[in-house]
Amino acid sequence: MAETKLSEVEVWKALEEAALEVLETMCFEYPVDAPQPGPAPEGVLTGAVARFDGSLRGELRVALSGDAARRLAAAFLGIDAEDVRPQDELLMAAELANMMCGAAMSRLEPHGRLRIQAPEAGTGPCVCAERSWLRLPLEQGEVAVTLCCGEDS
Amino acid sequence: MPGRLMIVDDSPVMRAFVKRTIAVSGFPAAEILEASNGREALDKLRAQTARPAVDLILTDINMPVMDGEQLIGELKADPELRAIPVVVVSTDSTEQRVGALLRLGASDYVRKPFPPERLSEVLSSLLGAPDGGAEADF
Repeated sequence: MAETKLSEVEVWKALEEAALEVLETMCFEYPVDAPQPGPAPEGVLTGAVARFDGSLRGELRVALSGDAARRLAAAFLGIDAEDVRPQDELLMAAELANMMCGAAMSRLEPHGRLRIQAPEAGTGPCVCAERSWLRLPLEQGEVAVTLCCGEDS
Repeated sequence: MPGRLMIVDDSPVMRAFVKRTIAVSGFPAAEILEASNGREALDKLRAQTARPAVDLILTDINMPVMDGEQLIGELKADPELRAIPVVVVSTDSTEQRVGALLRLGASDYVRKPFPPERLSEVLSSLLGAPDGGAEADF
């Protein structure tokens, strides 16, 4: 997963802590099982990517399957799930990627100089199927995240 | 208690989240202005007839058109707006960045993700406790 002097263990640990912190703090959502690395999620997903550069560069991707996008958007916005609009789900995915990326970077590079670009969101099949993903099963649906980072050239 | 706040963030869902967090924190903001970037924020603030234009500004950093760092610079250079406390709410939380923003004039920094209590703590320190709180005037 990682292409950097940071060990894969460090990167996975930062990614897991960041994902859990964002889900629990901002969405009040707790995975029903321990997060596990695995293959890319399948099917039609709501996803987003946050790219970063500076003393590290790379990208963090988040993919929401099943009812996860709607459920998280409802929790984040404090509204009923049936009132969540498709654009809310996309904006939510983008904000999740942004926050998880920032939270992971603050663990991996607390003294560094980093800039996170505006995240991009969309729906469709997973675009990074070759990578390992951290899978976080929720009561309804699933969140999957992957982080690829290398040192600035 | 102050009644007018401004939230500056290019993400409408984040503006909604901050707005809701303020409400549940017990701060009875009579009005919350919103802007999606620094330029829009300045335009709205300068259009206000009341002084101060707002009692506090919560701003993201990474935004299109005018980012939060530029916004703070513009605010601190404007005699009409420079006294308004500015709190940065951002994922960009490296020590270097936070230090630079505080030197530029930001009053405090809230790293996203944040629990509601963190925002409440910052609002209390800058605006006083919510109604009925320990710092209420007698």
